[in-house]
Amino acid sequence: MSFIEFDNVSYSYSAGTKNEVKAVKNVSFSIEKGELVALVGHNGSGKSTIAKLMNGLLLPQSGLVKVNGLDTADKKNLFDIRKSVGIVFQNPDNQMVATIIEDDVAFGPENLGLDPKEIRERVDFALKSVGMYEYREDAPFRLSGGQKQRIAIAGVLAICPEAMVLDESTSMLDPTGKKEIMEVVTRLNREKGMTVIMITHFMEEAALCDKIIVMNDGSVALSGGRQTLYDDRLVELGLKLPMSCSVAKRLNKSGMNVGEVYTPEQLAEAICRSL
Amino acid sequence: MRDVSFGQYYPSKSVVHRMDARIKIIISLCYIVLLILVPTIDRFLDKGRLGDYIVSVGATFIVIILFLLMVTLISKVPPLKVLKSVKSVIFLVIFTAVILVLFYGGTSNHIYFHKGIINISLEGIINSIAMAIRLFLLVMGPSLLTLTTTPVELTDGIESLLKPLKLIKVPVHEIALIMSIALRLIPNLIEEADKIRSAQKARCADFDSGNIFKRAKAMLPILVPLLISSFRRADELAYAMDSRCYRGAKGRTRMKIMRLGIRDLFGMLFFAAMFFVALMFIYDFFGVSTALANLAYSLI
Repeated sequence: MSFIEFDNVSYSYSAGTKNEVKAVKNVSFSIEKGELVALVGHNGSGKSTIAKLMNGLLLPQSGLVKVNGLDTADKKNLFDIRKSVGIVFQNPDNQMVATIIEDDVAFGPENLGLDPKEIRERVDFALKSVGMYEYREDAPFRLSGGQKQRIAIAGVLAICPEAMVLDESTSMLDPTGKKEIMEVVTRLNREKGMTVIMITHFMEEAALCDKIIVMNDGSVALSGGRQTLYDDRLVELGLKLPMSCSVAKRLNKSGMNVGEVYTPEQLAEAICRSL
Repeated sequence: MRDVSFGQYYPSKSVVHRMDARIKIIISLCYIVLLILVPTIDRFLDKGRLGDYIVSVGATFIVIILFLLMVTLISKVPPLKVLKSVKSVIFLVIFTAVILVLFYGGTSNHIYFHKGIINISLEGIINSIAMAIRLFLLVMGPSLLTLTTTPVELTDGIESLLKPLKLIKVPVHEIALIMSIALRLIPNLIEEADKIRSAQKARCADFDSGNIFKRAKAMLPILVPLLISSFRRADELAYAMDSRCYRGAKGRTRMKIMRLGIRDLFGMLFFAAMFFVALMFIYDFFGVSTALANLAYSLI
């Protein structure tokens, strides 16, 4: 049994009306515990809908979504499912409930009905994990976008979920903010073994993940390990490769064998080696 | 614009700031009740002595003002900030005072001017002065509450105080959450309104000329996008809350538990003392007011 399973899932917005939009069509895939997965695709390819299907914010109109073997369609399971799969959304401003940072991070554990002392411990732990502990008594609106998004991540972390879904969580941030978030997320995955699902259209971020699922027009177009980035079909889908991959690809084609690299550092190293 | 501290909270670590918000709210309510108890002049006119009224009400006001002054000093809030809070009602107070002076009946022989319904009398003047002081004090007290208590503490306090209403199925927790989210969103909405305004200005919208109606109409292109985006925001926030296991008040605990401390007891005792002394002057307990008035008469 996989950790998260999508079995032939379909979902349409405004179903049954003339404005019906089929966002997700017969999608099947599975995610194992501890994986760092990238879900990539163009705008409107159904990525965000998949995120919301993962913890029962949306329910599939056909097919099954299972988390830890629990069906999201069963209302009784929702609380447990949401305890194990948390979502960080795109706009940090729209995820904050409280006017003080630590109160906001406490919102999740408070909903779990924990002891005040344990809530305090979890809040401190979550804020330290994202490096925002010193700001705990400040108001969020003074922070930068990257800092706010780290608070949002802390808010999910405090629930101690097994998996975290980042729904385009870096798309509104500047390059520094993006880097901050990626560092926090990859560290959580490596050190704490947290399952992370990155939903993104930045292929640079996908290059840091172990597994890549490519969505196109509501269906899974490609999926596999990191080497998927070297699949020619990716270019046919009109997705922009990370700079290092596209350079490596062209170098390989022109006879200079640098192999499959995923980061600028690896690329530089491979070029040096082949010279 | 972006740096607005909503409400008018003045940060400090004074005893007044650290007092339990619930106690402060209760004290503020009692304070308002006290000011309502301060009589108008009519009740005294039957007794005949105008001086009794002046002494009784004057002494009460002095007690209340001293109380406010002491709280202000202890809380380290600049007194000017407290005084400024009356700015918003100053027009109302002047208007009320003028009306009271012009149209107060006045039964005694201290009538200075009389024509038609206009009737300026000594009683009218005294009454309107008392009314003005009363209204000013009525604004200053609660503004001390908001100056020394953060909006979050206030909503938490209100939630805690209204808890008994849960028995009659009032959704107390939900109401408090709505209030705190509203407070949370104010800076975002201001920021957004700013952005939309700039965007409209960039397309040659004119917000600053023409009469009031024209300007109000010019605000429409700001309000409509603002409204739509608030709905979208609310929608996303609802998803985020659901995703963070929110189920309403059911099974929910809090990280910060409000506890009454020794300072709350002192605060209450201090207020109770002031309250009692003020009542003493209002209701003439032990004949204090009468004695004071007699003393004043004998001096004159």
